[in-house]
This record gives sequence, C-alpha cells and structure tokens, in this order.
Amino acid sequence: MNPAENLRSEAVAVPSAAYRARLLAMLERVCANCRAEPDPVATVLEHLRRFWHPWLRQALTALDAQERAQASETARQVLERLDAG
Amino acid sequence: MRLCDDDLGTPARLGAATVRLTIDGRTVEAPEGTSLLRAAAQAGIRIPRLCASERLEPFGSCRLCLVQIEGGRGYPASCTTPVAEGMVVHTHTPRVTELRRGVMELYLSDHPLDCLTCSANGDCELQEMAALVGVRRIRYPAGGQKHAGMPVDGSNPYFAFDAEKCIVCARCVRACDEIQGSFALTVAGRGFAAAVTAGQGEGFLGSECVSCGACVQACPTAALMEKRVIEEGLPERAVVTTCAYCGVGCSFGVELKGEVPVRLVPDGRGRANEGHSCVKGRFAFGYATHPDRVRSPLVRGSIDEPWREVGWDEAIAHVATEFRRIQARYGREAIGAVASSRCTNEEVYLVQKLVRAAFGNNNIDNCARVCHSPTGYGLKRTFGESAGTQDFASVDHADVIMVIGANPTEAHPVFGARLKRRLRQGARLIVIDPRTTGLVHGPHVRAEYHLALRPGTNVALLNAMAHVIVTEGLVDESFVAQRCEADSFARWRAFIADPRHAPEAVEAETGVAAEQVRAAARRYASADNAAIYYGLGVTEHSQGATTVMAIANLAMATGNIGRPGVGVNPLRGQNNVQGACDMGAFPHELPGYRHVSDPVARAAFEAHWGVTISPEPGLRLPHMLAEAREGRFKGIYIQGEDLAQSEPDLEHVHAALEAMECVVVQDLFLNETARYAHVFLPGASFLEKDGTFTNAERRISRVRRAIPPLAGLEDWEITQRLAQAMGHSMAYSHPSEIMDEIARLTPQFSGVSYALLERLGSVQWPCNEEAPHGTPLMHRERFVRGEGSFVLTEYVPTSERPDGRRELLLTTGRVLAQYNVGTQTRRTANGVWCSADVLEIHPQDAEARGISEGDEVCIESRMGQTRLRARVSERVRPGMVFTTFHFPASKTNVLVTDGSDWATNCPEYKVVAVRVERVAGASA
Repeated sequence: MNPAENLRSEAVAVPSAAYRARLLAMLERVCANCRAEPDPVATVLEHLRRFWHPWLRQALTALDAQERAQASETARQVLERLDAG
Repeated sequence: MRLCDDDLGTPARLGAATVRLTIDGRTVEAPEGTSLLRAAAQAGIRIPRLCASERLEPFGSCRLCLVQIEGGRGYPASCTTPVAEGMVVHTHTPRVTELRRGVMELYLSDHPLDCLTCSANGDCELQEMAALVGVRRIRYPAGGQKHAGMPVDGSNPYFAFDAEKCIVCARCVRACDEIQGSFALTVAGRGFAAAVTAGQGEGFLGSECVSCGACVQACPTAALMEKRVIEEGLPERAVVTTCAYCGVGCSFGVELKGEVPVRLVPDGRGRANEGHSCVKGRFAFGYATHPDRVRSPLVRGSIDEPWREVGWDEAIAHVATEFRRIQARYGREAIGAVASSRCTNEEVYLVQKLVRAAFGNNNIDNCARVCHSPTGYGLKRTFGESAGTQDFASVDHADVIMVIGANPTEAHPVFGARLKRRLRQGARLIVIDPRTTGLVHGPHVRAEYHLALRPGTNVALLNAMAHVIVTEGLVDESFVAQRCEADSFARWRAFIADPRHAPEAVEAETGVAAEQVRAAARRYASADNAAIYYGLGVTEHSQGATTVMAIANLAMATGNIGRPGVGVNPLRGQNNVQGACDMGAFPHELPGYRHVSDPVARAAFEAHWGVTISPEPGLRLPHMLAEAREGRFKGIYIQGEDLAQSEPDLEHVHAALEAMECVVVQDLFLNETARYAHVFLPGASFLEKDGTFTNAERRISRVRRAIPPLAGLEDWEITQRLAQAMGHSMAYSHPSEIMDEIARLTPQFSGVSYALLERLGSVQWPCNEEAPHGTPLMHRERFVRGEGSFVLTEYVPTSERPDGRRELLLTTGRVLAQYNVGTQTRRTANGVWCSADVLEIHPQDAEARGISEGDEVCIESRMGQTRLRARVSERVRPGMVFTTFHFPASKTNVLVTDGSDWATNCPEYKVVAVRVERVAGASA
C-alpha cells in the first residue's frame, strides 16, 4: 500500500471538540509567528506540511463553522486551503 | 600514576617559533615558551617533580625538578624555566641529585612512612619520586612532624582528605583555582605548619567545594583519595569511554577491579574536557550497579497486574505480537517510538530504523522535543545546519561572551569551568537570565551586564538588542554583504529598525532598563570576537525557535560566525541529544536532517533497507500522547526516557499512557513511566555497551564496554531482536557495523568509522571527503545553506501570564548535584548536596505571603498543584519563583502547562503562572 494512502485510510475517527480546540490554538500560534512573513498563509501551510502529521491536518479540516468563526483571518484562509487539499 | 594519565609536567605552549637546545647531550626542539621540564619529557628525559602538572601553570615550589644550565647561576626549577635557543641543560649531575635527595628527605621527614598499607601504594607520585631520586635515609630526627595525627576530613561522600599524607605541594589548591575556578581551597599557616584547608576550615562538604574532583586528580599522594579506592584497593585495568550525563561529553577512564568499576578518572586526552570533570561524571556512577537495576525482562497483561519475569525471547515475541495486533486493528500509524538521548548513536539509529522499516511510519521522536528541538529548527533555517557552530576550545578566544538562558556552572560544569577561566583572563560577560546564576556573581567572575528579564520575553529583548545594532550603525556590513542573503537581510533590517523594537519601547514588557540593553548590545556588537552560549532558557518557551533565530540574526549581523571565539553555541542537555537528532530520531527528518519528503534521501534509505518510507511527517511525541487520548494511537516503545515524570502537563501524560494498549519501556530502572507499561525491557548503562555519543560541539566519541550488560543485552541488541520479531531483517554483530551503515547513508558522517575514532580519539562532524578529520568550526567560508538567512522574529507574547489569582511566574531548571529527573543521581550519594526540590522565592514575595525559609508551600497552576519547601532567595527576581524537577515526589511538571513552542512543540517549561501559598500549620 502506498504509505500516503495508508495514512488517509486510517484517519477515520472524528477528533474530540477539546482536541480540535487545542489544534486550532496551535494553528493560531503558528499564524501569529508567521504574520511578518511576506505571504503568511503560504508560510503556515508549508509549515504544516513539513511538520504536522496528516492526522493533525485532517483534524483541522474537521473544525465546524462555529469553531472556524473564532479563527483569525490568516487561520481561516489556511483552513480553506487545507479543505481544498 | 593513574592508569589513564600521561602528564608532561607543564602546559603546552603554542609559540610560533621553535627553539633548539641540548638536554643531557641530546638535541631537543620545542616551541618557544615551553618549560625545560616539558621539553625534556617530550624528549623522553624524565626529571623528578611533585608540584608540577601539565594541567596547571608552573609553580616552582617543590624544588625537585632542579636542573643545571651551562653558563647559568644556581639550580633553577625546570618547570618555571623556559627553553632558550642554544641552552645546554643537565638534569642528572651529581650535585643536582644531591640537592633533590635533600629536598625529598625534608618531604619524607613529615610524612607517614606507611607505604605498604597506604591506599596510594603503587599509585603515589611521592613514592615514585623518592624511588627515582634514590633516598636511602632520613637524617632528621623523629618528632618534627607537624602534620602527624591531623584528623581525616571524610565529610565528602566520595573522597577523603588526610592531611597527614599531604606534602603541601598546592596542586589541589591550584587545580581548584585554575581549572575549576571555585577557589575553595587554600594553604593556611606558614612554614612547617602550612596545611591545605577547605574554605575557612569547615571541611570539604561545608566549603565552596563543588566536588569536581580536580583536587583529587591533582594530588600526588594519598592525601586526597577516592573512598572507593581506600575501601577496595587500586584498580587493575582501565577502559576509556565517554560520560553519560550532560552534553559536554567528557572522556573518562573507567578503572576497574575485575568487573567492578572502582573509579572514573577524567582523560587528559579527551578533547571535550581536557582532563577535567564534575561531581556527576567523576563520582556519581554508582547507579550503574545499583541494586534497583532490573536484570530480567518483565511482562504483564494490564498495568494493575504484578510483573512477571520472563526470558528475552518471550518478552520480544510478546511486544512484536502486540504491536502487529494493534497495527492490524487500528492501522499502521497507531504505534510509534521514543529513542533515548542517553543511548548511543548506533542505538538511536536502530530505533528510528525500526520505526521506519518495521513499523512502516515516521512516528519517532526523542527528548530533543522537550529541550533543543527549537535549536534544530532555528539553526537549520538560518545557517543551514541543526547544530552549534563551534568547538568548546573556541571560548578561549572570545572577548565578549553572552550567556542566554543557561547556567553552565550547574548544568554543564566542565564547560562552565572553562568559560569562567576565560572570564578570569579578561573576557567580558553578558548574562541574559531572569535568575542570578553563579556566573553573574562568582569567585573572580562578574557579569558586566545582567539583563534579568521577565520570563517569556526573550524575543522582545533580543529584538531590542538587534534594533540598537541596526540603528546605531553596528552592523558588520562587509560580513553581511559577503556571507548573507541580501533580500532577507534587507527585510530584516527594515523590520528590526521599526521603533516598536527599540529598548525603550519594550522596557515595560521585558523588565530590563533600556540603557542596559543598549549598553549590552554595543558591547556584543563592538567586540573583536563575541560568542553566544545558550540553553533551555532560550528553547523551552512558546517562541523557542524564534529566539534561536533571533540569536542567529544577531551573530550574522555582527559578523560573529566562522572563526574561533565567536558563534552560536547551544549547550545541549543530554549526553547524546545532539546525536539522537543527527540520527534521524525525529518524525520529519531522516538521519542527517533530511526531510522525509525529500525523494532522493528517502530513496537511499529505501534501497538500503528494502522498504518504502512514508513521505509524510510522523507524530511528534506530544501528538502521540494527544492521539492516544483520542483513541487512535495505541502502542509505544519508549527507550530510556521517563515521560511520566519529564513531560509537561503530567496528568494528561498519565491519562494518555493509560489509554494505550501496549506500552513498552526499556530502561535501567522501573521508572515512573514503567507504572504504565505492559512490558519492561532492561537496558544497559553506558558502562555496558559499545558505541558512540555526539556532544554539544558535534564531537563523536567512543563509548566502550567496561563490564558486561547486567541484563545480558546491549540496547541495540534489544532493538535488533524486536525488528527481527516484527519481520524486518537486521543482522548487525557489532555497533561498528551500524556506524558503517550510518556513514554510508549520512553525508555529514560519511568519513566516520571506528577505525578513525581509534586513530583520532574523537571527531566533529561533518566528517567526510571535504573534512576527513572533522570540522571544529562550521560556516567558515560559507554557510551550509550557502548564504545566511535572516528571519523576521516577531515578538508574540506568551498566553501564560500572571493574573489576579496566579501572580507569580514559575520557571524551572537544574542543580549541579542532580541530573534531570534524577533516575541516575538519586541513586548515588549526590543526595548529600540536594535531596529534594525546593521553591526559590524572592524575599518580598515571601514576606507578602507570610512565607519563611523552609516553610511548606502550595504551588498551583492552571494545570495542577504540588507542595515544596520554600527557599527565600534573592537569586530570583520579584514576581518569579524557581524550582527543579529532580524528584518524582515534587511533581513539578504537574504544574507545567500544555503551552509549547509554535514551531516545534517544545514545551513551555520556563513560564508557568502560579499561585504560591504557605501551607497552614506546616512551618519549618
């Protein structure tokens, strides 16, 4: 099996609300620390791709509308890009 | 003579010119400034001596090394007489011999002549010199002995001082002054009544002595002697190996009697320590043979069942069966491992290989996650390599030394001693630390600037220093133009010049007076050679990686990279944490810091291992634990790390471990994490294995087996068996074969082999075709990444701030006598110096809370609470408290929050808002 496919097929559980909130807080910290970069959204996405396990990225896409409404503008754009794959 | 000793009498002098002279009819060449004693020794001519040692400046007091120089007057001491061109020296004339015998007679007249029953019998320089000089009688009458009957000072748990056997050569006093810099010893009294004294006569334990052992090492008689040698007799053989405590990586001779380690003696040839040691490495090795060591594998069905002793085959088969079951049920990503930074490079390499090749994922991490992962991230991004830039010897060339968030005299004592020596020679010191460490005010050492910042504000302070450098014209424009990226520098210069980064603008945030910041910045930037040394006070923050990059920016902007005396130097905590990172025990990097998404790097490993490697990063340790609570991560193999005591937010950690279906702990002892384990695999101590460690200066040193593994297997053998049981073929017969594979697959290590290490003693990576003898200083001509990259270091305040309920900030650290979670040092006599964690609190804060010295206090954070005894101290600034985490009962890490570095998830150990209250009815 292709390892990447394997990762996707295993990630079936829905993360808890507490865990989603924790991940969103982590994402916000990344966004805050990249805000001076020329393209903060791209920088954050690249950071997530290089350092975050796919489960964590997938968990972010499970954030519901109410949770996303609390996110910063940069984080919201990152989430949209993650949703789009 | 110590088994591992090879002393030429006085220090080497590296004069440019060579001097030619004649000694005892032989033509000898030596560098200008070399002593006659050393020049003769190098030529194989032995001159008797007692007060001289190559680790000490010449003293000329014993008068035993007298020589005759043609054309010269009298009989000068050869230790204090430098070589000169054309000099003709005689070392063994009848007159010289007569004089030496007279001197020796005087020594012996006040010495107990009990050689046959003396603990130094056969290891005594006085005995050896008396034989060499040929004394046959003592003309002085009995009754003149001034030191006879003086009491033995046995207060130190590791060594005794028997003044009766002391010849007052002052080697111990000079070793304490010159090598360790403690100035704890002196010669009190005059003439025949002169005697070595610790402190003001209160004995070694009560004095300022830090038990580094330099005095014991220097003593030529049995006056200062290890208690184990007194009790057990002299060792019979020695094995040279590398210390398993901190990241300094000291070389030691393990001296044994049969299979029993009797003493560890620092190796003068060891390049990291040059013959020096600390109380842990020198003396605290008893844990290795402590009765608590587990000697058989243990298995149990659930964590509330008792352990069952089993054989290795059953234990390994059980783990393999469980891990395969978990993966079959929950998926390939449901298991992972933590490699130990205490284990060898070869052992760590095998664990990450086990994970990638047998587990089929990248879920591998190591303790750098909770200490220096921000260093790896920050230095890779700015310089191109995840390691410090210098060797330790570089500090000898520094004119200004900036120590940030590090306490080397406690946590890296041997390097700390070297740093203090440089300060005594005149280097200026800047300390950035919320706490008044030993470097700020010490014997003959004083920080010119102590920037006692509020915890959590490192980035604001370093940005302010950079602002001063940029706006006051202190940038090394030439260095930046030649060595760094023009565009990233231009962006950074504009960013940092913004008035919001001015010292005055951040003064309220950092708590440091703007003028102090400006002065320190000017001092750093205007030095010929300015070096930065930093520790966990930089990395264990919500902006740990940003702080590392701010440090790198400062060094590049001022041109302090690429030559001796400068650089960016992380003081790494564990003996092999640098190596664990080098070996790819990270979820995102293969050995040699190559990202798992790099198809070329992956292909090399895939071809060699015969597997497919995932291109996606694995789970970091905190995410393994979080995913365990979420129910997706089910099994973990933990090699030599006590997660249940060392991680932050311990209640969460305990719950995560409880949630897993198979926890495998491989360790020396049943540690706190073993409470949650289903399988315990007994590991081997550093005395029981072959391999290599890599220290904080990238130095790869051999670890050599001195005694057989108490439980039968070295750690690499355990991992290999587990890999085999899980279906991945591993068939190494010796760690040298593992190193050969590392060299084949890792560019920075491609020139490393055990044969090379035997030849050179040690080597600093990169060691390859370009640098066959290693690389003491990195980034000399160009940065590893090509041009240095400036990163914008926006200050983002931590969310962990004092509030109405929790008014104080807790920060944590270590003390000299204990080590990390204390697994090793708690099982030694080091408890005599530190037997419990205490809470340091400023007198103002103590008074406001009715707290007195020794009171029991309750400390509460938003994560939990614990109780400690109070130590009222001005070492901490008002508004902050400090403690250590050496004892499980303290539960210090229960208090630490789930906050972490934004880039690496290194926990924010250094900033915890707490409420501190005196426990009613529990005064001291």
